[in-house]
Amino acid sequence: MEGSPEIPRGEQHQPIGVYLAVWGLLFVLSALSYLLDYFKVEPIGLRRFLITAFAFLKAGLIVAYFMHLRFERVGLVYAILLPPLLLVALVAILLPEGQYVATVRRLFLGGP
Amino acid sequence: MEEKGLRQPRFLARLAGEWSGDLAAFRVVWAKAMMWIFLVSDSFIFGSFLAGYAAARLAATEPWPDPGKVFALHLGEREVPLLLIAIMTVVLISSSGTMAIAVYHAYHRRKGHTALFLLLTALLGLTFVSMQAFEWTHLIRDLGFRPWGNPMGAPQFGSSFFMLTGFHGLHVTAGVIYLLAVASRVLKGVYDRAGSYVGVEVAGLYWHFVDLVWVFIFAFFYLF
Repeated sequence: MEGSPEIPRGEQHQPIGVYLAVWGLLFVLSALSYLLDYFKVEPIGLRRFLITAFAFLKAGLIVAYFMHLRFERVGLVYAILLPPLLLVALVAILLPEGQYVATVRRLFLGGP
Repeated sequence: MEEKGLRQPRFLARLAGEWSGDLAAFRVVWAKAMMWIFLVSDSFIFGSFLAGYAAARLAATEPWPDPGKVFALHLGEREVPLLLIAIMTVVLISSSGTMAIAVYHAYHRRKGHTALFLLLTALLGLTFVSMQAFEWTHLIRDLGFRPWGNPMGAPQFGSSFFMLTGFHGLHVTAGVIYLLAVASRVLKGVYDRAGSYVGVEVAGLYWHFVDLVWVFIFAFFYLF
């Protein structure tokens, strides 16, 4: 076993410029998302795709740099990033379910 | 990791090596590992809320109210869509930035700077919660939104909105209290005596997570 209870990581000395650059990028991406909605960019599919893409990009920046996950040990990184992938399954189940409920409601309760 | 014949991908070999460390798989201070485990479980709560919101919205037969109109603010004569939400987003991103700088100063063990930026972060968080309180008041009192219905369309809007933003606002409120406690520990020299400022970094993880959740609420509830 290499290394007894040594605690090496956790204090990475990144230059402050990295934080400021990420901070600026987060502002730019948020502003772009807001403008996409403000000008109602068409088609709506493209707008929603870009808003989703920007959201995941922002999330990646926050997790990688602000939360330092890029600089953690790979064991910790995978322990954190893999479990939330289960949510993809939840979403994949719930989206068709929602559409199904809407169809049934229209069929039996009337409505548009 | 001496079996050269096996030719595994590099990260698999590293993953196996680190997980087989028996007692200290992650080799970070326990507080950090515990905070990460809490945040992963919290991401499931918010992920489930967002997935539930998506299902409720898809199942709605009445038209979904346009968030741009619901959350519009009047600037003189003009109606600016989502203005308050945009300002709240700017405030929360700024607080994440000041938190990152607080952690940066904590690495360099600058007591005064760390406490200053922690207090600034808490102040921005408080601003965010205040604006959210204003938003809720406006929505409930002036526009007549309720968890079970509203005058602008699908009744599911209210329940999704109050649950998502309410739970997020609760996290911000808890975060402000947490940051104030950590700032007071910094000023009292607790971390100096312990020889480690990792407590500030752990608080930072929590705060950045709150910002992370807002990214998705902003994208999927307000802009979609």
